[in-house]
Amino acid sequence: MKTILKIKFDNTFYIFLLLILLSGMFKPFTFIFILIFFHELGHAITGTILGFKLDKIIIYPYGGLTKFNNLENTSLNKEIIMLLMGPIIQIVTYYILNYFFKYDYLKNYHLSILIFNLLPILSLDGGRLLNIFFNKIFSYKKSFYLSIFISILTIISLIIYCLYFYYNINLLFMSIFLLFKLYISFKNLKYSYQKFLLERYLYNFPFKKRKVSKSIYDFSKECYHYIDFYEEKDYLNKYFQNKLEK
Amino acid sequence: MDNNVSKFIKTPKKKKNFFISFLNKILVCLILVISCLIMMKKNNEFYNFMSTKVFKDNFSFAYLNNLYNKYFGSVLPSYSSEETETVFNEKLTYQSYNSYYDGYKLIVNDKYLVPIIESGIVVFLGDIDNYGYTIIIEGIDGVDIWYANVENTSLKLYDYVKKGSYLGETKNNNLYLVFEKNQEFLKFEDYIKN
Repeated sequence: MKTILKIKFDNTFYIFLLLILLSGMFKPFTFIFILIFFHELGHAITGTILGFKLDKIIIYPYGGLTKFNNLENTSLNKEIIMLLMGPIIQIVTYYILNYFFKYDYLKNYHLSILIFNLLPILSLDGGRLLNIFFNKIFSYKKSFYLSIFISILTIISLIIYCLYFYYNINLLFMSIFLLFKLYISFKNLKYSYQKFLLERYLYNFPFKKRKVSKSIYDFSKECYHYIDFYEEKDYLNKYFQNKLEK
Repeated sequence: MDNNVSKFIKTPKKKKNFFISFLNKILVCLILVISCLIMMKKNNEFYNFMSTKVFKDNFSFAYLNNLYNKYFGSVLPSYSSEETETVFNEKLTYQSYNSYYDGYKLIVNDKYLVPIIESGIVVFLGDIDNYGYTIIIEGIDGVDIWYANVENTSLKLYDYVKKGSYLGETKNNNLYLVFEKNQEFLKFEDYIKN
């Protein structure tokens, strides 16, 4: 019952609702809303099954956002499953809807939402998946910078596509919004990295991989590090105790 | 605790009482409705304005949607729709016409397949006296077109339809058409020139 109350609608959603009401797109909108809702529910339910703590679900005009209160050091494979279950549930709901209501436009809207969601932009599902795959190979910061770079490239190409090939002001607003979100996550990188280190200082994670790294700012996910014959834990102890004394 | 530290500690927000905020919204609505009613009672012009604009005139969804599409692109995300274009693409052909109640009666072939004259949104499906089964399509130019005496339609309420696509089949060789804009009935000759 508690999880039901955690769904929130963004303010832009209400403006969009007014636009829908004025243009008489009631039916396609209800189908789009159902698809988005089940997409987010797929994330939320698989996340809670895998042991993540659900924070809230925010619904935007063309998609949603499921926020979890989990650690930075959560298992990457678990996160991959959580991210993949959204699109899978959406595809399943599309086929169920298509079985009952045979509209031509249903496939169109379903595909447009799905493809948009799988674009490699960091706050969308596709970008987050890409970030996780980078994290498997590179270090935390390196993979973050790489995915930011790819996201900016895709957003710029999206804006160019919007202006020259498929004029749509909604898509333009959306890409600007995504750029803004990217800027915020870029600004918060140092805090999230500190959180990443602090978790390693506080808890003992059973990582199997071992890695030699040059400095404390070069750590990667799901690895236990060694710096100059010292273990990671000793280094972190020193680092945080110095910080606390200051 | 230090003054500097206490700045950064979140104080828990006071929870809004759901019942009181809901009651406030209802009261604001009531004030608006009652003030409107008083205005309508005192002012005759305002009464006429409200009765025509609110109770009689239609709001044209299709007109606004068309305008938005023209200047800002489509409202909902569309991936591609050109592949699913309908094959049926014809112009209205008829032998003769004469006036019939508010609209016109066209003599067409038996079981004639009716094409849609102007693209728009379906706003009514059902039986109307003297006309039979009627479909009303609100066009992008703001004109409602009634197609009456038809059957075998696949259209549903609030579907957007395109010009020239298939609407339905006539029951016999009669097709009734009515052109309406803001409670006024238009002439057939003015609307369709060919």
